[in-house]
Amino acid sequence: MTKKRLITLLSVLLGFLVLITAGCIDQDGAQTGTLSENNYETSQKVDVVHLTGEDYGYPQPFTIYPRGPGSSKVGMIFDSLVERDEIGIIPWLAERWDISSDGTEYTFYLRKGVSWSDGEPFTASDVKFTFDYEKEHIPISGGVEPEVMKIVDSVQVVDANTVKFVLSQPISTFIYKLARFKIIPEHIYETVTDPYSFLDPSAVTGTGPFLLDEYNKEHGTYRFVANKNFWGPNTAVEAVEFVPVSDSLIAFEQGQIDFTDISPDTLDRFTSNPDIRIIQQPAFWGYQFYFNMNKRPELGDKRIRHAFAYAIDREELMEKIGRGAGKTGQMGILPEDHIWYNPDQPAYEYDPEKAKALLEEAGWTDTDGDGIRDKDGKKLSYVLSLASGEVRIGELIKERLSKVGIDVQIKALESKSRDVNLNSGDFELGISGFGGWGQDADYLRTRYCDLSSQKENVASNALTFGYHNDTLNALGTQELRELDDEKRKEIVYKMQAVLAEDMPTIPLYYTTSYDAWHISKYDGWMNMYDHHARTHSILSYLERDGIAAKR
Amino acid sequence: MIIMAKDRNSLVFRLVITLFVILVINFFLPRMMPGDPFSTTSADEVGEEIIVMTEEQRLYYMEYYGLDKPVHEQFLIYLKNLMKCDLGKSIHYKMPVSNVIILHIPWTILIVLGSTLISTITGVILGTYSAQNRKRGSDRIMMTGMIAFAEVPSFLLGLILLLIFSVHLRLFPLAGAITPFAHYNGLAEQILDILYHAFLPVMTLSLAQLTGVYLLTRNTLITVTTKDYVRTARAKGLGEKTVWIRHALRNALLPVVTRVGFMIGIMMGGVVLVESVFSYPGIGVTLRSAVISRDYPLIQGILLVIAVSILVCNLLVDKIYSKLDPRVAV
Repeated sequence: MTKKRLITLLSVLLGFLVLITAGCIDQDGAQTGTLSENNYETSQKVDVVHLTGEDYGYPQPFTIYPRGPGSSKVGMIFDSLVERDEIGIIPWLAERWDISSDGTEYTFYLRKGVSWSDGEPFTASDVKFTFDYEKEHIPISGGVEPEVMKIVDSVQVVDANTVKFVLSQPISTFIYKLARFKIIPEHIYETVTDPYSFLDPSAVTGTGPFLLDEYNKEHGTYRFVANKNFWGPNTAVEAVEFVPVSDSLIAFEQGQIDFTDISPDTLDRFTSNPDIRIIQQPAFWGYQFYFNMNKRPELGDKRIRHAFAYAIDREELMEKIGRGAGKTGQMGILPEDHIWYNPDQPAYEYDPEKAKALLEEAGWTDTDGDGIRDKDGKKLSYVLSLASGEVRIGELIKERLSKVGIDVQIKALESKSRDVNLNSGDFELGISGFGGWGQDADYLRTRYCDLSSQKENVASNALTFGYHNDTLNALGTQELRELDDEKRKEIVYKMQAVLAEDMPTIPLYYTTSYDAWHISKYDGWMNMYDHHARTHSILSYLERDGIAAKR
Repeated sequence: MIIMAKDRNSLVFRLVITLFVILVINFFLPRMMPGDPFSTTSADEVGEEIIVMTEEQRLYYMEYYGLDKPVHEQFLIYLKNLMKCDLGKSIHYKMPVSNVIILHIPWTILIVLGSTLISTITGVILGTYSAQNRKRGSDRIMMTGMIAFAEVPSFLLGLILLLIFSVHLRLFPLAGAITPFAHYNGLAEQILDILYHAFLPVMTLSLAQLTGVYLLTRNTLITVTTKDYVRTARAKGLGEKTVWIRHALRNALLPVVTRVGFMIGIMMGGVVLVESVFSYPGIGVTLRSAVISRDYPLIQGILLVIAVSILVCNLLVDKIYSKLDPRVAV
């Protein structure tokens, strides 16, 4: 009996051992594999940068996925007429451009001697083709929004290197919009009737600095290699590889990726390493708090909205939930890191007494002693819709608001359901988080102006139900027409002042995480002026000279 | 003969009905979720980037994918295409649903079958050992350990294994199913690489399933050994080994086989989490991303494949059961 027991035990142990050693043997094999690969790299002087990967779709404008950083991969292959650096817009495929005095004609003089990666020459005709083609087939990424497309009456080929956009009305953001407009090759796409299923290798023929060398949808890996015939500055890295990771921090520590963003909690693990550079990202991702003035008319009273701003401790939210990494919300909407941020605006710091005074002034008092203010039989009691990830923000806000006599019930939804409620106006108060706060300040107009011309195209995050301000509308119209950047900046400053006073929504806080990278691996990371992610900028992978010189 | 034919007919009939109900649920349930594939306006996680569509873009894509038609019309089109073995086109992946499934399902089959095999064999061996040593120290320790172990959720187990073996010991890869950009010199190397990457996910799922098999084997064996036929076998003077294997274990295995059949279905839930932990490119994570992006055709396709495979598993269990227990076949 004991003998048998021993045998059974041993066989079980043996089974485990076999499994574990099997793993070890494989591991050795894999290690030698990477070692030899490294040797190969050094002998050939091939510089590879490894980044976090996942499947974001085939990197052409029609097949990339709308979720995730797929657009930047399209940008590695395809060029636009203009590009963005750390200061502003720089010439790219267009060497220079003229704008007619009434702002309706844009003439672009294209760079000569540019060719597609298959050797065909790039001409003005490709630009016209891309625009006309994308009117029929709206791209997921790398296009111009349909709203802007409608303003363009025609695109004319003046000669092989000159192309003219004729607009029906001036629009100040036109050049900015073109920075995202990626030109696709006419000689390839002209015969493609369904670009959404065009997965041929020729679909990723671009003029850009990189070529798609390998893409594996199943495993989410991409390998881009330098385009030897690229017209512009030399590439600083020969190849960029995107590999899947389960945890980017650990993968970064183990050297599987060379760049990662890290949360403030884990900063300490990296600060002592001299080979790791840590830089805070600009705060261009934020949480916004919405009022639905249609559903709850009393919210149309500015004093009540102000009371919310004084009663919610935005500093506390940023410290406790943002772990101290972030900037508190500005009532002028644009975050501090925005190039056109107006520093001259009231701060609305946490002040519950002031909030109470404002509510009293507006006639809301607690008549029945239940701790909730009321007026004419109606209570200041609200349902706050948010996504399940934002419950902690909601809880803190609920607690702060209850101290001034405003009652809040939290309704936590799956994020997509919350979006539907917010978009359809089926909410009283709401919270959502999104990026893009660094973009051109024109979003102040699309979000907060209710001009008749933009009624039909409800802009995203324009969730100001029941909000209307004539002054803001007038400024918005002016801002859209003004082609002089300095004058436009002044108008945007005024818009921020109006918004900070009027408070149609409350930006709670803008998050910032930290970027970390191994200096010895690659140190050329740069930030576009309007975007937080360094890895998304094509200039991050190029030598900074010629047109891409550092400014 | 007549009775058998009738039985078979009713089985086919039952399967067809089940399949139809599955199809209806698969089709309508995803569409009842709030939102559609193109109306996302806010991110799920801090810092996540999404391309927000304007209303015009949204309508354009709704029309392109035929989602602007009335739902019952969409359902009829879906059924019609299904007859032609066409599962439709994935909205998110921009390719036929069948291709997406074919791309990802082998990985899931690999880890599900691998872990079923390992957990069943190990569970039966350990269960037998425990039953043989009932009420002794080793049995008690093993049982307590196993029960405590069963309470650990599979994703947590996965994280622990990942931390120990990949992060600290660096014995196994952190993520993925193959070495990125690998070019193999031969099939053996490829198989080794795949096994090396599959090891931790398989271990996680196996450990999560182990306790169930172990307990069932142990308890059934204990019940069985008190039965008269075991006593008879012993009285016949058969060796202890023969008694345990031929008489006790064979009878005790019946419920275990049933359980393994169901386990494969139940495991699908755990697979989603385990695949996420190890960034393993299986069907579970694909289903998760399909749900997040409201990719209706893909959700339908994956759920259908899962449902059909569970049906097939149950049929197989019936078959194996009747082999093990001839009484059932009659």
